[in-house]
Amino acid sequence: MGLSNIPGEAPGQETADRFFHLLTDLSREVGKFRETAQKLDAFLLVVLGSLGASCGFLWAWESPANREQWIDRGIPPSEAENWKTYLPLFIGDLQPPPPQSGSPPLFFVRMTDTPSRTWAVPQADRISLVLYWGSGQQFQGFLGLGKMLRGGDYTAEDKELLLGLIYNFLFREEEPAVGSAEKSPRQDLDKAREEIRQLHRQMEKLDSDQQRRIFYLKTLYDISSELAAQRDPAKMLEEFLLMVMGTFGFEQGFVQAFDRASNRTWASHRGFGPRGPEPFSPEDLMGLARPEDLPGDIPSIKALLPSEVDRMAGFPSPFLKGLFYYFFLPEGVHGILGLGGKITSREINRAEQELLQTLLSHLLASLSKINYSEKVLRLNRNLEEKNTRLEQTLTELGSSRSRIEILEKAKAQIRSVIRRELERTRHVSLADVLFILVLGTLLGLIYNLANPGGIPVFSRAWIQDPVPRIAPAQAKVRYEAGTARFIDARPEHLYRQQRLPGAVNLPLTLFDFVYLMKLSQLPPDQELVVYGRNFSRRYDLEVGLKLKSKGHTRVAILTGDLTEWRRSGLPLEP
Amino acid sequence: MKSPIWIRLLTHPLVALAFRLYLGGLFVYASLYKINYTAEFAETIASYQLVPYWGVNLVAVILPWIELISGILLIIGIRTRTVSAVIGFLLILFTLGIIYNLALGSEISCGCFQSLDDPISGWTVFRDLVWLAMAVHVFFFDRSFHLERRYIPSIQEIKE
Repeated sequence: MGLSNIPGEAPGQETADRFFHLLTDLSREVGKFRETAQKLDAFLLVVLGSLGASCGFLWAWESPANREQWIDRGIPPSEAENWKTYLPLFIGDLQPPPPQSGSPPLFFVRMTDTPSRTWAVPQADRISLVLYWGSGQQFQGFLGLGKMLRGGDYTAEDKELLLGLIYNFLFREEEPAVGSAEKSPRQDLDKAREEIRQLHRQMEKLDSDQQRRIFYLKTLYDISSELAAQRDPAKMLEEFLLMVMGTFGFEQGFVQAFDRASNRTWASHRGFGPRGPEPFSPEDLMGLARPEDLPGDIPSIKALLPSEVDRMAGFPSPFLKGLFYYFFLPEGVHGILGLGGKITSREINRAEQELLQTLLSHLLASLSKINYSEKVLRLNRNLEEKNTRLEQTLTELGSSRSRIEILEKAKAQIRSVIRRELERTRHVSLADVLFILVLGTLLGLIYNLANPGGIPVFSRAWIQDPVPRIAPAQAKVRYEAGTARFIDARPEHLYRQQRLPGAVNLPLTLFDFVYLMKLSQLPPDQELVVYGRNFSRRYDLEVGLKLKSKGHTRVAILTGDLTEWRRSGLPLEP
Repeated sequence: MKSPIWIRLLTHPLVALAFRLYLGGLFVYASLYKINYTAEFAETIASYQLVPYWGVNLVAVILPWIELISGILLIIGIRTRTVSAVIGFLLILFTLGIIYNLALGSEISCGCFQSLDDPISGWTVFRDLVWLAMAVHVFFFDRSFHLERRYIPSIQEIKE
């Protein structure tokens, strides 16, 4: 059959579904009737309903029998008349194209989206799509469809569907549907069954395709969610390898990635035994792709030839028949994925390769995400550390400031004290004088007290003063009568300077000696007149007291001393 | 305008230092005997007849110690201005006492260093006046080798 206008490729899944359902509907509806008019009517109704067209007409005729049928739905009679009048005028234009390979095509279709304009049919705006089909002169017709109820134009898919339906139901090479009214219904049924069987096979194939796609999607989803949960690149690579091997049925797998920024390598392998292949050196890994192959700023994947890999890795030769991919992240991650040893004999097909690459790009995205999140974490940690340090510094600054304030105050105080002290060293200070005086007094008194040769600071004689006095006049009487002995109490050098004639010199310092020598023989009631005092000394008093203590009862002190004596005209020597 | 060299020499701090050390040593030396022989020193004071009888012994006990303390402070250089003033004041007192007793004609011993010194005379007065002049010189010009001022550079730093 020369179905030049029906696409050779398998129709889209949805179209195929629709087509299948329509065919089933049509078979059921059309099969109910025997009359051609009824069949055509049922056909038009199903087409209108399934495409959602507002109105339509079907005009078919068979040339040899010259039978024609006109069916219309939702078109006013005047418009229907116009179509009937004008359409035949153009049949000549709608003839099949010139033959290219000998015989003319058995079936062809002409279609126009603007029928009323193309063919200048007056008052025929309701119809927006007209198809003409034909096979030479034998069986031909027009199918006109009104505007879509949902609005918009007929899609290419709709048109394809229409073509399929027309071909299957209105046109048959051997038995045109319209013209086969008198053929055996049994044969029709067999034909229809065969067609349906074929369609069913097609459907099954589509279904398995769909299943596979669902499986791919599920794989994609599983791997994506698995990768999304991973935080450790090594584990991520390992899981990825496992899942990919499981999904595509590989026995051996090898994956390695090298991060140039942190100079780390992660590698994982399965199915090579405990030792596995040696990981690539970073230089070898990076050498797998030429710099011009890498776009630089976007992740990229490149399929490698086994020969490219063989140069470096000690992979077993069966493994080298497998698939190798080089991958790269602009953050500086280079890696390789190798899969080999198919479990099933079936080679991996194009769709699976595409899926594999998609999965690989998911892996790259996840690796990149880890890289970024590590970077963000690192930056965050840095930021936190810096924050802590900043806070610490601020606190220290605060305390330093208060410490500085305290120190400043202390400094000011010390400065003023020092200034005061310095001033004192430059000037005569009363406090210093007092200090020297007090210290001298204290040290002197203490030393005098402790010293065996110390002197009494105060004399009791000054307070007691029990010695009676004798005036110069009375003393003169005693002197002249010679009844009293006169005692000079002053030190010897003063005695030698001037003295009362006949007086005994009895200085306090030599008292005991002189007393023993000169006065000890005197009777206790011998009258003794003591003299000798000045502004600074009370010699008479001291000696008088001593004499009294020696038992002399009649001791008296000459008042006025030698001065008074002399004034009274009494003699002095020398 | 610079002062003449002889004035600069005379008022040189080192001269003042020499005077200071001499005076300090003199007072320390004089005080030692008086401290050990208080009774004799009391007699000397009494002989001047300037101190009332009730104060003679007290002065004899205290005065040598004041001389000693002043002498030591002057040597080591603490409060030299105050100390030189104190010493100057004491010298004035001593000189006045000598002059007074010379005027009275009393032939007493000076007692400046020992109780058996030479009797007081015009020479004694002159000697005391020379010492007084030294004290005045120290008061005005002394500024070196002070124990206190050893710390002055650092004190100046603190002041800044």
